[in-house]
Amino acid sequence: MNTLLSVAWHSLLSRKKTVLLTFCSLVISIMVLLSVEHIRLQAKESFNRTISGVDLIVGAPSGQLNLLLYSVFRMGSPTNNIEYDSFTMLRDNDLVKWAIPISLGDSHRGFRVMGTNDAYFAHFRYGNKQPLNFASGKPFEHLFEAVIGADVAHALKYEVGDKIVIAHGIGSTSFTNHDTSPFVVSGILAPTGTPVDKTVHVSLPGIEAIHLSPNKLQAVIDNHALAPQPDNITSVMLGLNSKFATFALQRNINNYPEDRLMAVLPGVAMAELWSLMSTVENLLRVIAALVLISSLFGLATMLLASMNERRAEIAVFRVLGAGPVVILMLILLEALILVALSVMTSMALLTLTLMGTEGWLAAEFGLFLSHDIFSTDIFMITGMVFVATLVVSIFPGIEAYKNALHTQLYKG
Amino acid sequence: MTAAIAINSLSYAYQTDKSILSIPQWSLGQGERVFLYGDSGSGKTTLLNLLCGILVPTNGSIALFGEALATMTNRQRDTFRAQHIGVVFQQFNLIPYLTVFKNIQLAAYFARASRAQTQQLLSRAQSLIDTLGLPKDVLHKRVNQLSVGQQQRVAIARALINQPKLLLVDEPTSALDASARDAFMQLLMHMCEAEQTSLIFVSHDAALGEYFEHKVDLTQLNEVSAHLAQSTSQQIDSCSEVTS
Repeated sequence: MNTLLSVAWHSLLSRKKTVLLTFCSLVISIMVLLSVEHIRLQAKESFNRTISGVDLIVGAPSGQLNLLLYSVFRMGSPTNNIEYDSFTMLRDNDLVKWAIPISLGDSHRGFRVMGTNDAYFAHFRYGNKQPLNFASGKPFEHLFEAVIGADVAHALKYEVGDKIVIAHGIGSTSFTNHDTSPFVVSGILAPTGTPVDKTVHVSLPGIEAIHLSPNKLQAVIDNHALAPQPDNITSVMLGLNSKFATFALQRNINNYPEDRLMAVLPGVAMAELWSLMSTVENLLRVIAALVLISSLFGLATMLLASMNERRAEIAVFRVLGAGPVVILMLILLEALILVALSVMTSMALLTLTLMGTEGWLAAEFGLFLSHDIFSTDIFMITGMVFVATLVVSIFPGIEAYKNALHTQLYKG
Repeated sequence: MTAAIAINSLSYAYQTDKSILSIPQWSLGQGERVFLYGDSGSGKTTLLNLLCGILVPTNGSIALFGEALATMTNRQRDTFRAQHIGVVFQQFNLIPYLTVFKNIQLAAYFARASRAQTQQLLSRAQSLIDTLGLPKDVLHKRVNQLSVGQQQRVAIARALINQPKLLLVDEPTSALDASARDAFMQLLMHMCEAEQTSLIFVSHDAALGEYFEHKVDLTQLNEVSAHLAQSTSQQIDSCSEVTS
């Protein structure tokens, strides 16, 4: 086998130009395939790590995707609110271990502002059940304190103690800036790679205070009077004592007579949301696969085209005692060597590219792509590349086999 | 002692009813060297292909050193060829992109050389190269860097590396000039004598026949071409009768 490998290698070297071009096309196509696969896996992972350990999300009746989008991904706007009393009812339910209130609808220089309470810092989990950690500072205690995500701090260059202004409404330029309600950054969260990084967290009374008329707000500031408790909030995240109670509680919530509520299972809603994206995902994979197949055909064409000039060479092999199967193997080996080199090169290039652009992607687009591309899926894809190579190079292989079978001594 | 080659009522046809080679009986003793000549179309190439087992006879049998080629499987024939038969063509004897030594190694590889043989391969190749009057550094040169004459001599070295019992040589000198040709012939005869190798030397060039004791005219040996020649000469006779 060693001998054949070395022969195949030298045979490739002897056709440098065509081999090099084929190699380039293979490297590019394999890189496209691996990139698509890697980005897909990373996107799925970062998608799935946004929320963990929440058993039910409760909000006003709408679609479950809508509720998931605004309460977890901070995308779109809540269609309706639920009463604050409903939150206390849920929090005091025996089945409920903890409840996190969420109140959305305001923004700070393009970042969403979320009203919540200490339960959020105590119970919210992301990724593999990881709790939120503070990079610096501590949770908010007073009315006008805010905790900001890592991206907010990085983008706006905020530090603990900085004063910030929170605007009413969503969007980076708002006409009704609440100039009079100044907040102080009390803490900065460590990066999570989830929408938490792009959120400004304040207390529920803090949210209410933003919406007071200037006079009333001034009174609150001056007197250090207690801000009004909120009347309604956007949604509630629930953790239960027992997972078995999930469906019963969901039914009870949906049938709650005092308020119009809807409870969704985050896992189910996430799966539905991801399945929406799977069309795009599959389309990308199909395109990548087609690119790869086309360059594998290029490889087969190169090998096939060389067959004519290799007639004499094949006759020599036959005379030396090589059977047609050896000739077939030689052709397959050439294809495999070339593809193996291309795979290694594209893996190296992809890793280097990701390492080089990691910081830029995170800063510019908030994309967290790991440069560690090696995963089971990537190895499976690589395996399939080799299988496809074998299938495609069967064509020149069979041509060589036939050639070898019918070869005769060179006619003098 | 078994004969190197024993041919018995051999015939070969590319198409079922158009036989192009038919030899009732022919044999070659071990260590014998024979000069095979004949007009083009007398079936020289076909006979060589049959002798090295690349073609299989339509009828009859060929036995090499007592072993019938027809009873072997394709694989066995390939291995038998690798181990016992050396072949040198008119040209294109070597894999052009490999070094001379790699070419020689390949011959040993396909002959399934033992470990001991593989270890001695380099020194054996070197002594063959020396005997053939090639410079020492030629072993590690790529074949396409050599002259045609050097390539033909390397081809002999490669053909002899497995110490074959039979050497088939087909017009090896047609690409060489006269002085190189004589040197080549002397070397070839010397090597065969030293290794006690049976040799079939095929050529158009009757002048080369002087190196051989035995000469065979394949046009006569092959019944098909003999018959053809006869009928052609009869035709010519009848033509001349008509003109006279």
